[in-house]
Amino acid sequence: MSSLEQDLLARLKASEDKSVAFLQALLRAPSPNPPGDTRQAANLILDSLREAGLDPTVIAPRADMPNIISRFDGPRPGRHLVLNGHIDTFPAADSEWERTPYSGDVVDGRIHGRGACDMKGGLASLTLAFLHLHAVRDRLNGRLSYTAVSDEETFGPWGARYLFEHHRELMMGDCLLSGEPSSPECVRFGEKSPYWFVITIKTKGAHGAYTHATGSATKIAGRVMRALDELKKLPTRAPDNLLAMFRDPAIAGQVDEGCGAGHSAVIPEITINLGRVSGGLKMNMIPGECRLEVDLRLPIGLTKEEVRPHVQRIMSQFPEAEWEEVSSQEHAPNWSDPDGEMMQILRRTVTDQGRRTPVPVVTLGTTDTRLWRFAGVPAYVYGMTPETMAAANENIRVDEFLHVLRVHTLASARYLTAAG
Amino acid sequence: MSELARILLDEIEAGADEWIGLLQAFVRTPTPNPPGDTRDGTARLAAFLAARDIEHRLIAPLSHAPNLVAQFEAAHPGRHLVLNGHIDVFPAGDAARWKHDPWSGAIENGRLYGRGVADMKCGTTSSLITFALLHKHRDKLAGKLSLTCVSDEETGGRYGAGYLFANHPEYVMGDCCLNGEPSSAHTVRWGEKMPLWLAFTVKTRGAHGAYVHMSESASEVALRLMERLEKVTELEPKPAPEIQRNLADPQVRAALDRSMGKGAADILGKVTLNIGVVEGGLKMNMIPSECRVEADLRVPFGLSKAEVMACIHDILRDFPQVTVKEESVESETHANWCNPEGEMLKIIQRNALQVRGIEPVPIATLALTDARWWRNAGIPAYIYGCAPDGMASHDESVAIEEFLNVLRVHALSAAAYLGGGA
Repeated sequence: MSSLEQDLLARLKASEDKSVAFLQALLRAPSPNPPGDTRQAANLILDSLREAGLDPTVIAPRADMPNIISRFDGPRPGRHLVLNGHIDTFPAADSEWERTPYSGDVVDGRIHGRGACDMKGGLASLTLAFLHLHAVRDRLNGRLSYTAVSDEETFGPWGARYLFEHHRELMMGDCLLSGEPSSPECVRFGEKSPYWFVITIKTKGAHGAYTHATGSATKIAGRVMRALDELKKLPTRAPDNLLAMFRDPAIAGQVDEGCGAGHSAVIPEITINLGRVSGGLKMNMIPGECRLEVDLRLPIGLTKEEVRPHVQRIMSQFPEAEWEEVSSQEHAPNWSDPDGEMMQILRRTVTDQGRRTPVPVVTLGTTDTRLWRFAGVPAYVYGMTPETMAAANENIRVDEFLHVLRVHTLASARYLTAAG
Repeated sequence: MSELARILLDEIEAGADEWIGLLQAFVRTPTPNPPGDTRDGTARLAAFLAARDIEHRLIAPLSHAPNLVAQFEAAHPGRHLVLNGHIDVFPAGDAARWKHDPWSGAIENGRLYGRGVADMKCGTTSSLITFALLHKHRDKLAGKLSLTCVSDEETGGRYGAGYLFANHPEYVMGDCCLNGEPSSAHTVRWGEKMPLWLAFTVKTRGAHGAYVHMSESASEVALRLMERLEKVTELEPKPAPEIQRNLADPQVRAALDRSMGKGAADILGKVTLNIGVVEGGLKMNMIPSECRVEADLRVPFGLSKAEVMACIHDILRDFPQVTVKEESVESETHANWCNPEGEMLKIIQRNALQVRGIEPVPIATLALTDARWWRNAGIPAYIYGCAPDGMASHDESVAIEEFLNVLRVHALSAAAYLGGGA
């Protein structure tokens, strides 16, 4: 281990309490999206950057959804690493939580709050890694950029997408490291793609006792969802090397340990989630309308263009239903080289920390990393265990957070000192 | 025809403009429920009685939803007839879809338009006028006549008819009830299926929408449950012989299909299932951890609530994630009915034939009215009213001549029941 790494580890060790306190503060600054107002949390980040003497740029095409960019150069030329995280979180239904969703409480070695794993834990880690590396910038080559964006959870237009469209030069680099949840057991190198549509079923409606008078929009909705199940059986064509990886029992086993039982099995599958269903106004009226929000996930090796005609065919059996795609056209399954340099650095760094070497994995959800991959920049994700992501009582282990922070810091340092 | 019947018909003819004006003014007084503020509507009806020096009372368990009651004893001892109607109406919905403003009471081509005119201001106004006319002729009648104009019918009756039964039985516990809910001239009604309203809550863990292996989806469980619930429609009821006769009568079946739409005769004797509301999930890309299903079952004659619930609980054995709560009136255990061949039914048929030239067919109905309070108390209750044109939809209206006919049939039938002939 280099002296730089030893110094960085010493800095990290000495500041563990402060690191945890920073994450707690972020968790206590609610930023659910929708509605997506992230200003309170963004201000905490800006304060910490400015305190270190940095002069971050704030780009806020929507005033309540600021994006933060900060960068510094080492004394010698080299490669450009970009760190990326998002400030917004899923919303939280208070009633389902044991403690308030924005408590930031540390209990039994776990830190609680909406966004703990997705991804204020990873964001805090990237922020602190950036600050520690800034402190030792004289010993680094090339450039390190830090990007903390808003509007990720809904794939909204005001975060990374806006920056890529309007400030592409600030986003581009030679490699991207993201702190989205991956579990310490895995490094994510690719992701499935959402294919979302909204189905609206309209019938005449009637008094609830007059079931002979009209079809029921809610009952038709049930039949529509059952018919859509057929999509799960569509054939897919992933590259052979990826398929072999997905099927490798050793990799699959470790993926399931890190990401939850069953994760590896759904990587190559088409999945369907009925995210929202909303039909009817009143118990005793036959609903004249029912709306379904359908969340399909396409694996690597299948495109929307291939799935669309099948959806069309199935939906044509339901003359009462209309459907409309709502996911952005740019979505597509995407991946970086599963043997790429940053993948290797991350795996080695984790191993050096005394943990099991993480395995490459494909993300089931979607993250902003896709934007870098679409732009040709290899992008890798290393972050928290996603166990309670998007669920009530979201929490992460404190020691896991500190581990991820060490890996982010050391892997970045290795990338910016490697011969490249 | 009895002398009193002739007098009543003459008085209805002579006062027609006043009756029409009263109905129009009543329609122009909005009483939508929800929210259910019926004070102005009730005041209009009370003013009509006050102008005739007829004693009456307001009984208001909810201050914004008073019930109007009145009662007189006729000259001779006899039976007690109760007239019942409700003051509250459905909300108007989207006013833009109406030809005339829903509270205009506009008259066009002999029809009076407005929310609630069919359900049931036409009927309630008929009850009110019937009461006033018979009050005037009480020296020629036997027994007792009560008038009960209630609020809170559209939302269940707890503060309307239900309240009167619990707290003022002297106004409602008669020997028979006559109600002017919409029936059309072609039918007279003797029974109603029982609504069984069940709210199901599905709870699962929830997760990110791409992590389908981590949690069952509450919404998908709900959809599966909805399909399985269809089993209740296969339950086989065993109604009383007189009801079996009625349900099998081809004339009755034809009348059911004509008045409630083709297919009504087929479902009257069966359990129906409407999934009124299904609501699950917060967001497209989250696996929903909760989904609510509101089911509206209608239980026919000859099947108890307990039997239906046994079927439901049997289905729920396969759904440990689901809890169910009844939201209908728990004390109601059966569909409500009275004799489809009873005395008052025959009186109404006879008078309708004479006034309108159509003998109404005795049918039971799919939807619920306040008549159930009487039938459940063992008191025969019959419904005869206008056609349900535009009921619960837009452009609700009643032909003015039909309103007057309903009034005529009510007045003559009430007089006949109270010994005034006809």
